[in-house]
Amino acid sequence: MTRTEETEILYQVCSLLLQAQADEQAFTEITCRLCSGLGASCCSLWLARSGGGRSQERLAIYQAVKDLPSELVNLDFTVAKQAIEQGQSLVWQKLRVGENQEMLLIASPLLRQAQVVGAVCLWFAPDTHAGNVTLMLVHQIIRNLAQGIYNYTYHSGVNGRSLSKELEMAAHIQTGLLPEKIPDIRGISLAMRSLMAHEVGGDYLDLFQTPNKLLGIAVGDVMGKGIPAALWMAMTRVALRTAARTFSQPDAVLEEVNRGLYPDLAGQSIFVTLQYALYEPVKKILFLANAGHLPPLIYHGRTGQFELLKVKGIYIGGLENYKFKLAGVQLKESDIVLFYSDGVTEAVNAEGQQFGLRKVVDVLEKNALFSAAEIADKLIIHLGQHIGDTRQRDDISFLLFKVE
Amino acid sequence: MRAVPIDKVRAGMQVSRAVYGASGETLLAAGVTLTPRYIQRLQELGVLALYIHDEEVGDLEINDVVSEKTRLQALKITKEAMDNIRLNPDLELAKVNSVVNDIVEELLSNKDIIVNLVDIRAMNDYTFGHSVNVAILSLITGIAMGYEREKLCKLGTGALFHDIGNTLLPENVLNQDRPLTGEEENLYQRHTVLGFEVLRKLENFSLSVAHVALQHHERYDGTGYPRQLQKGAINEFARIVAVTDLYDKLTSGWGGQPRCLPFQALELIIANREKFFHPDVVENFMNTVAVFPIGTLIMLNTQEKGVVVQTYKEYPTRPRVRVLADSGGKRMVPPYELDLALNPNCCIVRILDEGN
Amino acid sequence: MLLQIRTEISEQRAVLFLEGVLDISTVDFLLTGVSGLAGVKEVDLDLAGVTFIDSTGIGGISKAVTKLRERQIYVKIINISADLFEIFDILGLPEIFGTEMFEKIRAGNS
Repeated sequence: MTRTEETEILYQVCSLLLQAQADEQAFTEITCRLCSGLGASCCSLWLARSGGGRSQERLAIYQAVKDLPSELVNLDFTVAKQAIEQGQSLVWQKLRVGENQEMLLIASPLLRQAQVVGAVCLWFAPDTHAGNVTLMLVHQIIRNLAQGIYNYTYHSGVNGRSLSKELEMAAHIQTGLLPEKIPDIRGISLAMRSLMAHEVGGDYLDLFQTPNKLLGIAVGDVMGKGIPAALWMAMTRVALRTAARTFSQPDAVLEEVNRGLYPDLAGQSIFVTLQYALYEPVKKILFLANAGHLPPLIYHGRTGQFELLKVKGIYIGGLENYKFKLAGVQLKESDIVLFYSDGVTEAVNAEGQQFGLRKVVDVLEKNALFSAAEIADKLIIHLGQHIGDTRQRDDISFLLFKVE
Repeated sequence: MRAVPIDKVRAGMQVSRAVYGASGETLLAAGVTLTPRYIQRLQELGVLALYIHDEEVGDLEINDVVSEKTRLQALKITKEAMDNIRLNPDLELAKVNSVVNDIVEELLSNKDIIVNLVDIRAMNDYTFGHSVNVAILSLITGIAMGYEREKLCKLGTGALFHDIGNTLLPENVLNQDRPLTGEEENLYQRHTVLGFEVLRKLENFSLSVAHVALQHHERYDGTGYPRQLQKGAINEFARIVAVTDLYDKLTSGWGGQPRCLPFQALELIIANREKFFHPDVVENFMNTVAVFPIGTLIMLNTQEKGVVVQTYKEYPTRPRVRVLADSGGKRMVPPYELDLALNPNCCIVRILDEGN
Repeated sequence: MLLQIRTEISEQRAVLFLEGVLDISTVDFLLTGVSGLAGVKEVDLDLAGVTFIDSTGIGGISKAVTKLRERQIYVKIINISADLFEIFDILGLPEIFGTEMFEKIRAGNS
């Protein structure tokens, strides 16, 4: 199996897992995809239940080969049960299925932070020869499935919501709200990263292609913490995505979002900062409107200069019918644009020093020849080195793109 | 195996890569178990770090880009040539050419070269190990820039002898583990001109090779020495050596400076593109060395700890990682491996101290 | 209590000296303190003693100002650090409430 095929399967599984949070049908698609990708005859996916009654629930099963012995399904259950209840995994185990048929089995519990969240079973024809590459890939798949099923558990509430779980749930609403996939826009490389703090913060990042093929970038922060913040973030996202389909100018989009959210936000001590930018890839122009958010940082790769693109505007919910300003900037090749939350510049080390804007600029300068993904990875590492063993207080999230 | 700084090395640890002296003699063989005496001796010789076999990390194969035999041969010939330069200014060119050729051939036969090893050497014999490593790094960069064999050989020879002028300087200017005084600095800067004078008089020696010695401290923006040349006026081999020279000095801990991790050295070089260095050279160089070399201990965003076991040219910040401990710090038995290139949701958040 | 509010009232003018932390745990205390003010026409919120303020705290200040203004009370925010003012500025608070509401901005760190 080649690397690209492996990548393909993993990406498909990951994106199906995101879909599964809204539509359980996606689990069946995952099992189907695993069969075809790994050459398995049958695949099943199980959920561990913590409530009373049964300890497991089958999310999906797919049989890629016709006329499999009917006993296989029962055996599948037993194996999954062992995986979930005893944490037992089987690798290339030969099992008798039906009267005189044998099959090879891989069964594994899905573990997330040492907690069993489910199980996966893969059945192969007895003559299947699999090298180490496949096992490695199965390992990666299991890892992703575990996280995906864990997320699903909290979205669907299958395990019975309890108050103590609410914060965790909110955190997962947030994770689920990150864009499923990064749009492919001509002439730029693009990356975003989020390191969530233990508690729920209100950082919000979104990325999409608008109807007229521009790149829409939204960053925001719900000022306030916990469940209300996560809910407001979800509402903001819906409001912005809807407005972005109707209006083509960032200022008009923010005005629409403000019109929609103002009645509920006004007079509360929660408010939402939001910045919306549009990038036009042909002329390389960035348009921007701002509702009380930190200005984006633009690093000019050619000259080594940087600037903050400051556009004044009040936060969402501040004033009814507020008119936002529109700004634009012409970008050039090798320019890097960074949208970030205050968690980035205010990340604190053991001595209480903040990371600060200057160090952010340094990281961009020191990595300017790399593409966005590498620059983003490096920024995370520099932040991580700075924070060290100190507890991360706030969400750290950012989005950057580089004109290639 | 992984690199461990000398102050974190303990008796009982097993050396997994030999340490060589100036003329290629073995100071400490691979497989030797360290004793307090060995450690003390290595410190006296100015060895700053060792490659150590680590049970917990498990077996890691780190291949050098050229064979040990060739590296040692190059070391020996460089030392001979430099030692003899005062007495007998005729370099044995045939030997030099042959070893440079060997390096070039080995590098060319190697697809997708990526440097995962930091050259570990004794500070007392710094110049020779440095010269050989700079030659190798320069050649890899030259290959990335599309150089043909003939050009590569000139680049290799120039790189090998870029510091030949050092042998004509008074001892006390070199081997200092403190910043040089103004006067010493002036004297030190003379090594460029001195080297050039020696090399240009040699028969059958290309003048462009001698220019590497003269110009490898010139800077893109014209702030270098000795002639404050700028941009395109700087010899193209010297432009490459300017970069690889600094990279090697930073990662090996030169002049009493603490050793930089490869990613830090690389960042410094990138930050100085169009100031000290030609952007073209930097761009080609940065893809030839591993940002997080095999053996680097890291922490992932999942709070798991692991070690880099494989690096990919296309994904410099996303190596393959062997996960050694879970988020609670519990050892993972048996450890499993994770390709960050295949797991977009995972990333490295920290580089852990080499000594831990 | 992490937040202390000392109130000085002279004639129809009240000064509220805020000392300590203004965040999710103390913000209600501020709002109660403000709503309890009776018979004044002017209120100064003195932030000189505030050691830490988070987004909820900023929200609280904005809400306090709004409530007071609804009661036709003239509000000023005084002795605010330059750093904190910058955050207020990015959020657009001066634009909402008027720049004249802020007095005596202190240079240096908060």
